[in-house]
Amino acid sequence: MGPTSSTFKFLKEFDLEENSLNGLQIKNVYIPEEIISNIFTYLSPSDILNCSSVCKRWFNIAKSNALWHTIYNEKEYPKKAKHLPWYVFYLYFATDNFKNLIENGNGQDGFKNWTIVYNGGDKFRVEKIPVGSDPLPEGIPDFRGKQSCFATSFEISSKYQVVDLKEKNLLKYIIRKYKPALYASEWFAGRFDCGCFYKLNILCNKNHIQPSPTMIPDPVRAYILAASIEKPDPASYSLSVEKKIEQWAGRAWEKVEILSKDYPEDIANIYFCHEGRDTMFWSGHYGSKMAGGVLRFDFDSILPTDDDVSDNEDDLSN
Amino acid sequence: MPRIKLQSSDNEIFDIEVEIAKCSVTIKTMLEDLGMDDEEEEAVPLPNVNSAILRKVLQWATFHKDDPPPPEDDENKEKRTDDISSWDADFLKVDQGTLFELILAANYLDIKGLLDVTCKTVANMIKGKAPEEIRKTFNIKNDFTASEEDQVRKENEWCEEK
Amino acid sequence: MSHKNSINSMSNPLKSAIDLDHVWGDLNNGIKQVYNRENMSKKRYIELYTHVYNYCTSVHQQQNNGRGASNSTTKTKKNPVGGGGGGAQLVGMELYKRLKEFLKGYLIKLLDDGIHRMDEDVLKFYTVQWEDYQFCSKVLDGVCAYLNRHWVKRECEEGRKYVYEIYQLALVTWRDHLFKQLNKAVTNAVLKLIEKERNGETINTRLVSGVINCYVELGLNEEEPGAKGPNLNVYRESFENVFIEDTERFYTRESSAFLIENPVTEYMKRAEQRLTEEQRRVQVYLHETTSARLADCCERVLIQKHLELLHSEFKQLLDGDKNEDLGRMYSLVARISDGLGELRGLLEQHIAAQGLAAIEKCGETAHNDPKIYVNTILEVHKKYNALVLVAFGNDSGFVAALDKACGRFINTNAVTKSANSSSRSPELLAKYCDVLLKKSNKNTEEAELEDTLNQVMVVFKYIEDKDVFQKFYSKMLAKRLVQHMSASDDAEASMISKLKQACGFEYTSKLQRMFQDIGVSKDLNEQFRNHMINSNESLGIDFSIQVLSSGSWPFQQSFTFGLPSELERSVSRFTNFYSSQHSGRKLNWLYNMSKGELNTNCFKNRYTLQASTFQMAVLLQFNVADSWTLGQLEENTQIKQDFLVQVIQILLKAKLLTCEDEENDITPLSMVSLNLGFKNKKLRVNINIPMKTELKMEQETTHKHIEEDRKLLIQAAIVRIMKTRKVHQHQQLVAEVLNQLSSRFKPRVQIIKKCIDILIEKEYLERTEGQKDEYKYLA
Repeated sequence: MGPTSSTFKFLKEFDLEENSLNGLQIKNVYIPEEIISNIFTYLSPSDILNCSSVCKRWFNIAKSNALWHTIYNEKEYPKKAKHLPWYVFYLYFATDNFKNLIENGNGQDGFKNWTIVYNGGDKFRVEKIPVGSDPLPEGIPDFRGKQSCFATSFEISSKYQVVDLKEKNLLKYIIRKYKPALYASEWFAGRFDCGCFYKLNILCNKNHIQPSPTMIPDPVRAYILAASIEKPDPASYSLSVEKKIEQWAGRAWEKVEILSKDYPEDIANIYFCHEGRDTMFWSGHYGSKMAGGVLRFDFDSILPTDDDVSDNEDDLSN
Repeated sequence: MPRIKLQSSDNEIFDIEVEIAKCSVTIKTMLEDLGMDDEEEEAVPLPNVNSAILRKVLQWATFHKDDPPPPEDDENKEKRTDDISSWDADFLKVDQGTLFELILAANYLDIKGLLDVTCKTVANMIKGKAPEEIRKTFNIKNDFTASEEDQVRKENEWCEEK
Repeated sequence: MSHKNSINSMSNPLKSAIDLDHVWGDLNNGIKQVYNRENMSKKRYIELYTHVYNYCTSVHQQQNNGRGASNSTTKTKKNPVGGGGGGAQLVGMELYKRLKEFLKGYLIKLLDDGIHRMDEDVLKFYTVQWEDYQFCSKVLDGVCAYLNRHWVKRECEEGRKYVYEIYQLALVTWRDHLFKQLNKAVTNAVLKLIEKERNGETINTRLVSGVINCYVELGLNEEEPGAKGPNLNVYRESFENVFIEDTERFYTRESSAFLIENPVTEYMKRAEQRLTEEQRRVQVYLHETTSARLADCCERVLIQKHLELLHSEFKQLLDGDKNEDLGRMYSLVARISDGLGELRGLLEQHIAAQGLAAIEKCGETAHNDPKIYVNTILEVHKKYNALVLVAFGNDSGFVAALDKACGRFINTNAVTKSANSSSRSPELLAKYCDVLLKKSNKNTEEAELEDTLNQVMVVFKYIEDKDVFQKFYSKMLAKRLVQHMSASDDAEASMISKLKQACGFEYTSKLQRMFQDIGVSKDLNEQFRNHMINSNESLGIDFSIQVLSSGSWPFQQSFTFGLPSELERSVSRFTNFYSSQHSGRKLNWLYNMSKGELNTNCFKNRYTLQASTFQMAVLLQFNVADSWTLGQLEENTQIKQDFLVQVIQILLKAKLLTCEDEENDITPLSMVSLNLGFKNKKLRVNINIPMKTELKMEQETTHKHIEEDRKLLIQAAIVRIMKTRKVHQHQQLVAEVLNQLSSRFKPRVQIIKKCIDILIEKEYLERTEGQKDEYKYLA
């Protein structure tokens, strides 16, 4: 719908009639602009957008950079807003794009939101509390207060969650303009008594394709996987981290992180794919465990463009 | 208890405790800058506040005079609008005109607590309402042309993720 | 009337835009009023505040500069809402600019008045004007509070440079238009004033502190307008740096000049006083952060630069026992990093030299009188311990120097040199213990004794050859115990527990064992007596015995002889009794340690003779005949001849026996007779005097034993080390052995080498083939 992110243009400030008090005069009382602005800071992002439709004066206030800078400075104190346009902050507050796009990262809702690519051995399972390893570390926002995790088995198990950018006009606009870094992370652990493999793979595609397990299989089981390995889409962009935990070295939770600035700017969707198995070929769930997946764009990596900074420098210096 | 006299725009004089008057940062700063004379009989005129509103303001200030000072450097709190105390909610059950005049008075006298709670009250009147309802509530004229209004609506829709 | 510009009532809905000119006239008058220090009423203050408020809250003018990008004009097309700094901008810029102009104008006029002033005159001008200006600017800031709260805040948030809250603006303007022109003259004047004060004049410190307060206040965080509090850039650059340079120059000059005319001790007093003065200076009128830098500078100039001089003075102060000056020097030099090392070294040398001299001074007496020897050591220690404690604040480095020095002179001194053995010190100390713990008519009070024993432990701590002490101590303790010569069981126990505390359980285990044996023996005698009564037997003599476990006691069986028949019965009865109680234990009789009492019937008086077993054997022979030849006595008593001669010699000396031959020419044919005319003042006569050979032998064997024991300890240590290392370098092995045994004694490397050879011979170790100086452990 509407213009694409490459052709879209934001409205400019409305010109007001001289001495017009519309929007500042409420119930016969004149309210200065800074007070209207202050009232807006108590509203949600979508309410503020709504207010911009009320009248021209309110439009100019609601879509002023200054209002959104004030909101950011108050909520994220002691951080200071960079000199970025209002809609960057709107997206920051209104969506999860800069927080976490992964849902059900601890399997608290079973396998909801996940697509299973391959379910080898005794298959994926959800453990209410990690079995045979440490409990999840406390006070980590990635877990959203949950204590559960996924566990893998003796053959490879692989699943993914996809973020579709189709409906995210503003995000695509911001990607094109600012190219914020893409960030992914997840926690993983092995059992105390068994070694395991773990892999986190981030795929960025222009089209929808199904990720396939790509973990290097051991020779004995190569045949199982041979069938399901597809050639990756040449247009796709992939980043991955692989970890091996030796036997008796497991049990502690560790975090893997991926940060990328070179993903293609015309991505259509992002796959967050993880997979794991054990090293011993033991029946049951002795493979790697994973929880607390995070996929987001890094807000702090957004820097003002020359366009943003070209400000009205007035001669106040002397 | 030292006292101070305040004079409203319609020349009514309010003789109150200095501690209550100091709720207003404007008055507090003035007393710090100029010092307090015990002798002084002259009332401090407040040309921007009428007696009805000043009475309300002082009522609020008297009730809140023992409130702990707002914590400094602690602004990264989620700005909530559902934390208005029941006393304040009752206190603000007034007509809109009075509510906005209280906002102005709080702004003029720099009374942060009162400004907060009045602005919150107004914010609650805006929340979840369609633009037309908001216009109605506050007596605002729709000064967009039809095409301008359509452009704004489209821009807002384009920004929102469903 | 200030109400002339009637302000719209708030309830008036049509508040139109207020032109700045509309309010500026009266506001400008008001501000002039403020800066002229005219009396300001609250009413006027609120009026001015209201002017600012009304202006700032007036509706925005589209044509205002930097404001209003219109959708229709080409000029603003580049400036969409979301683009640059557009959007809601508040009213305030024009007012801000006019305030700035006003302040600038005010200060430029002020500068005219101040520019040609110098010294105190400029200080008075500057501080008075500053205080006024600061006060007025605070009032102005209050009046402009609404501008600060909204327009300035918004501008700063939007990243605009060079916009400040009004008070800050006033400071910046002061800095740019007054401070920059006057600060050199002002700072110079301040420095002159401080120099005057250093030279003893009284100054008006308010002039200084006024300037300092101003400089501190002017340190603005321009990069970060939101940051709280001033930084100290201006203070540092315009004052502190030059002040420190000035201070350095002043004290460099003063200290050199002072030292030319005064002794070092006086200089130290002066330096101490100066350091205190400077710290007070910071407290009274400088900024607290200068404290460290100023102290550092003064210490460098006043102490560090003269450190060599102080070091050489230190020796003289020690020689003169100038404790107060020493304390002062310590506290001065302690301020300099690494300054004390030299003093510690000098102190160590001094104490060691004093110790050696003290012992040397005692001369010969110290060699053989343990009490004088130990007390001489203690006096030296006490003196310097007190010095370290009081003058040097018990500084750990100085305590170590004291310990090192004591270790040096206690283990090697005139006494040990003349004895050619470092073990002379532990021996004398052990002997001193014996003097203290042995029964005598000079025995001291219990508490005093305890105190003296503690003193002994002070010396003991420094003794290197603690094993030598142990040997002598146990020997003397053994004697005290078997001869019932201990003055106090409590004192004995206390001393042993002190040793245990110092050296561990192993060190005193044998000593404790001796105590046990004595206790057990008491009961044993009781049992034996009962046994004899029960079996209706009588030995005809009083008989008591002590059973000492072999290995714990430093006694040796000397030789056998024919036990007199009078004693034989008792011995055999007891032997039977004992073996019936403890089968498998063998009793060896230490006749050389035994003694008895003989009652005489042959003299005019009835004497009781306290005699050794050998003396008894000889004397009992005279129950049979009045005269014997030496040969006959030898045959009857079976005492070896050379030994028998010594026994006889003592009896001759005691005049119990007579001989026709000279004492030293006794032959087996010499005739010895009972002296029937024996007389003595006392009825109890102790003739049990140790024989010369016995004494000498004893000492020699003690030393020999020590050497033997040491060899065993060294070998044990080598085996322990090699067992864990398997293969080891010679040098490291020696080092580890030295380390392991250091608490007992200091083994000589020569002896360690010998012990290694012994172990190689015994096939505990072997030399690694092809490797020089490496050994291998053979399991």
